[in-house]
Amino acid sequence: MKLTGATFDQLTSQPRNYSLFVIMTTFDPNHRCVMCKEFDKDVKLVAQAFGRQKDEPRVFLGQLDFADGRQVFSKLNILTVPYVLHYPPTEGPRARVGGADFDKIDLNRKELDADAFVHYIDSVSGVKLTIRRPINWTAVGIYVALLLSAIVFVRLVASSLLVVIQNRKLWTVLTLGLSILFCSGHMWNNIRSPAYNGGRNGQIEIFQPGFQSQYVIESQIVGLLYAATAVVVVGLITKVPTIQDPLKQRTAVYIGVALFLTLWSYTMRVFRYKNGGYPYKLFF
Amino acid sequence: MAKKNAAQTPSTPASSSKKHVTPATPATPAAATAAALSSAASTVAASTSNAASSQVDLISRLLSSYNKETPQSLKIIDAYLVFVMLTGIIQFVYVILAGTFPYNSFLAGFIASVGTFVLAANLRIQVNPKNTEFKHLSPERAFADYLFSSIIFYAFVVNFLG
Amino acid sequence: MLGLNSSSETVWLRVTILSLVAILAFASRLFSVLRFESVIHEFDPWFNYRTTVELVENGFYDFVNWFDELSWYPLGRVVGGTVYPGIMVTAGLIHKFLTTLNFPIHIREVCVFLAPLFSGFTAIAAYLLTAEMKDPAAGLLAAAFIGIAPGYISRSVAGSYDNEGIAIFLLVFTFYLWIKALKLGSAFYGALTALFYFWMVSAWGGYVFIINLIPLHAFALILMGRFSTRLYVAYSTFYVIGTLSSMQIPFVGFQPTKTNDHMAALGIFGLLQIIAFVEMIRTHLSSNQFRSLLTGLVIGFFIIGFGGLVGLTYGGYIAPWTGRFYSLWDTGYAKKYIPIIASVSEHQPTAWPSFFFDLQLLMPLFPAGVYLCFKELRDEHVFVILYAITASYFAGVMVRLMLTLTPIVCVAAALAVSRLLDIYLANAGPAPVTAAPATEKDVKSIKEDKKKEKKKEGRFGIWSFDSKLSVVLPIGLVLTVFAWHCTWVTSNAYSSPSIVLASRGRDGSQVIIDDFREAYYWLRQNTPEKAKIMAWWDYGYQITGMSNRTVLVDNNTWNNTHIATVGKAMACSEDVAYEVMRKLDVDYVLVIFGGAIGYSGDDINKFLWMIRIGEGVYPNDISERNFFTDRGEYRIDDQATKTMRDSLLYKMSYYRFNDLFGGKTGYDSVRGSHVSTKPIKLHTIEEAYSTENYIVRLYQVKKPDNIGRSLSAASTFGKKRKRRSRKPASGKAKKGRG
Repeated sequence: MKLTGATFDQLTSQPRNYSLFVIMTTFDPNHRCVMCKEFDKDVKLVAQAFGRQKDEPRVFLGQLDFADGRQVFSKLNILTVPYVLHYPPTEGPRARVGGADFDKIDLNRKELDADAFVHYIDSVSGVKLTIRRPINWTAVGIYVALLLSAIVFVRLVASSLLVVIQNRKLWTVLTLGLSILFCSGHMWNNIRSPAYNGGRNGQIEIFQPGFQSQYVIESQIVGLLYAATAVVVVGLITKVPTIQDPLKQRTAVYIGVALFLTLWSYTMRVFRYKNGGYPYKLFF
Repeated sequence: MAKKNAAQTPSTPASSSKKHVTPATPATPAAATAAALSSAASTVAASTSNAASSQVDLISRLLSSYNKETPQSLKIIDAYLVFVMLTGIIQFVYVILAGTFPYNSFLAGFIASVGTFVLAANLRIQVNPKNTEFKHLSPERAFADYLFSSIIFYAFVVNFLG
Repeated sequence: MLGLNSSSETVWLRVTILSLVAILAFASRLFSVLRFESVIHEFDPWFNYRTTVELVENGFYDFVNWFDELSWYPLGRVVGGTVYPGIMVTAGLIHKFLTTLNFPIHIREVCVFLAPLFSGFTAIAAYLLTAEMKDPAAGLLAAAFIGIAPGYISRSVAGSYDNEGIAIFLLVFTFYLWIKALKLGSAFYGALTALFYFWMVSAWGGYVFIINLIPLHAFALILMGRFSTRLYVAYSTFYVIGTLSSMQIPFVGFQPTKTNDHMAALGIFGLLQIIAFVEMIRTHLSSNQFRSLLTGLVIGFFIIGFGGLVGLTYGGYIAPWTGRFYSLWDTGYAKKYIPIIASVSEHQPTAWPSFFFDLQLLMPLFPAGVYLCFKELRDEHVFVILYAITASYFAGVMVRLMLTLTPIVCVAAALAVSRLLDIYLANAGPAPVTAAPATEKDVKSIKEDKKKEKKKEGRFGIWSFDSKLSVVLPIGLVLTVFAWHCTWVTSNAYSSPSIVLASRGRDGSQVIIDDFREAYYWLRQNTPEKAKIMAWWDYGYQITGMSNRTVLVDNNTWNNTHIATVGKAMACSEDVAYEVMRKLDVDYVLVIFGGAIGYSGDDINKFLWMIRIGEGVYPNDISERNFFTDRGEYRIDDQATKTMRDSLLYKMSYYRFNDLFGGKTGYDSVRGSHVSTKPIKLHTIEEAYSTENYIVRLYQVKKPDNIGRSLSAASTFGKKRKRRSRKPASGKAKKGRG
């Protein structure tokens, strides 16, 4: 239910034999509260759950917009939105004696989606609400269509698909690529979502000068370095000995060794930049 | 696949028999075609009966081949395997009927059946002269391995029975 | 050389080199013993040590049925059912063996040196494993690599008496036995694999990795069409004996039949049975019709089995992937639902410098080795590839799992280096590539013969001596730098016992900081035996281990509410905390404070986690926002919020801190700011002991007042009160105003 300043004061006055949850929010475009819009979707789901309460309702949900209840906001010294207030009953079996008159949850500090909100309501008032999310027909339709097209596709190209799957080179590239990717910090990027690169005064910083953190571009460069070194080593093992001309082979060997040493020295140099006290260096 | 054949064949015998009924003119080509058709009908009829009884045929072929080709020692092991499998099934049915308390005893007994089956099957595989992969393993060594793994296995079973 | 023929010469050379590698592995883990003394490190090993002492003193049955009353007061802890007994039993057996031989050795020495001893064994196990992959020369390289690789040293230094110390040896050895069983199709090796797997299950929770990797390997072989009776024999023997034996451990119990972690093994077992049966029938009949029908049967079984598994999981008969392992797949899961797991520093994801730090040269050689496996692709090489890709993923997700990646990186890198050296150290010139067999050539057309004659016959090898040299020397150089790197890392990063610290004094001499043990021994000698100590869970094991007193919470972290209660006591004001402490019978409180000396692992730095965990259970009493200033800063000086300055932890940390600075405002060197200028007054607790460098501070909780006054009133009795605006004070105190 939508509240105004006056109804708010009325509902929160004592005595109460019901629990009241008030959402303090604002939809004023001047304030540009993105979180209020996001939270509003969850609020609508929870409000429907409120409406489905069996028997006599013991908990109520109200929403107070900043425009309607400015004095309430200032009286309670609420500076950030969205905000959830909980007024427990003052009489009846679940009355709260002593302590504050109401609890508050600041949604800028703590995440609250529909499920967590219902969980909170259950924990403080003992009333269990169930959220029923409407079935997203478009998503269902898309999935079914994708599945059918996938089945048709597989039936059509079954034999050639088999050939592709059995190709050893494909698996080699896939496995080695994934391996090098993981070992160059890809999961760290996935979990911590760092910036692509840093920048100070317009100068791009490629390597973050800390031991436990990295930029995305940094992990890519290191991955490429590892891959290049491995390729050089594999080349020295598999390709170079098959060169028939002795002179060509000698040049190939020297180039391979030089490449390997350069790449490896550079990797060590990069590591020395990240970890200040590292004492070893190879060539630069 | 056998079912598909059976579904298709009922139509043809009727049509071929119809042709048979039509007055066979003494002209030889007609007789020849009639004869060809009748033989086709008979082969098709034979194939339907084959399809219907091919399952039984397959199994009987399997059994006869098995009887002929497996040496006596392997048959003994196979009989033992069947026996062990029966004990496992009996235990499982009992648990479904009588509940799982105490669970560790059930698990010990059931896994004992499964394990004995597996270990004996290993022995059979290793002793089977047709298996080319085990040329380096003499039957005595295979049996020794079997004993070793069985002893370890039963030690755990006894500990787990509670 | 010694008058032996060349083959026995090679064997002797190998034995000598391998022994030297094992001794090297043992020796390079002894830094902390040489620098400080033989003492158990860190936190978890203290608990393991305590249980081992219990085992040695009271015997095996008492150990298995032990109920620990000293921890998690008032709940206690059933140790027998919640611990992996492998490492304790191993240490106990070694101790017993040595005492029977009349070597009087203290159990502590056995515990301290157990991990280095087993790391020598791991080197031997890695040698055996790599020898199966390629040849003994590669094996020696692998043994050397794993002997010094910092990724493994980090958890197996002398003094780090933790599960991983023996678990990695068991992991590598189990894998070696599995490969051997697979290659020979031998039930003997399969049974041995199961035995060592049983030992591994008793030692570490990471056994789930084994029981999922081996079925994955079997499955990959089946998919590649490489099913063979060898695979059947090896896997079935391993699975049956291994599963039954793993259920003997009380901590594991019936999990192999009831949780999703183990279902993959069961599924592959069933699949193997069906396929073997099908193959056996096929030898009697050879009709294509039958074959396609049976392929359909196999696929049908697979789908039914999988569907049944999903159904049983939803029905609750089989538990889904549990928290710890689930958080490896869904990486955001732990932060939301299990914050304690998310807060452990070892569970953070791995950035690339950590990979480089732990593996250096082995890191780029690792893909090269895996590529060589792809070229040969025997059954065992498939195993290396699978192990490599899964281990890299897990190591990327959690720092602690770098440990499982290290063995395979060592093996693969050894394969690459060994192959390289094979080619470039070969004495002979290039050898001709073996041509196709003559029979096939005869069948081919004349045109092809002509084409072949035009090309020079293919040769494989290196022509000139200087190119061989130019590869061998740089490889030697790079390997040497690798060895230096490993030694440097071991010496600097992984050898600190963390219970004893060392720093440089002003004149450069080494200063040993032994505050922790000082405080724990003070507790041991000066407090009554039944005293209860409240401290944050990090220190629980150390307190019970060294001072032998009861604690409220310890590193096992199995009860989140209890930990949150302690967090509440730390974060709330003195009076609220006093209520909590009285309810829990707390006698002494212990805080770690690093501001005086610059030790940054102290409780004020961990305070935010205490608040968060406490807020999770007591949202009405604690609110994280109240500890931050209006501008969102976390401060400890005069501008700290009132909640911060009133909290018990703040007061305990900075009580009489200003006195250290002779009356001026104290300066906290860890946070880098001055502290509050107002002197702190405590009325519910009093200072009992502070260590030499003020790192550990002990406070005694006061008993309730004899006359029934509130403690704050009792403490202000007889003291002059500053004139303040009249507030309705608690009545009885007025009497004493002077």
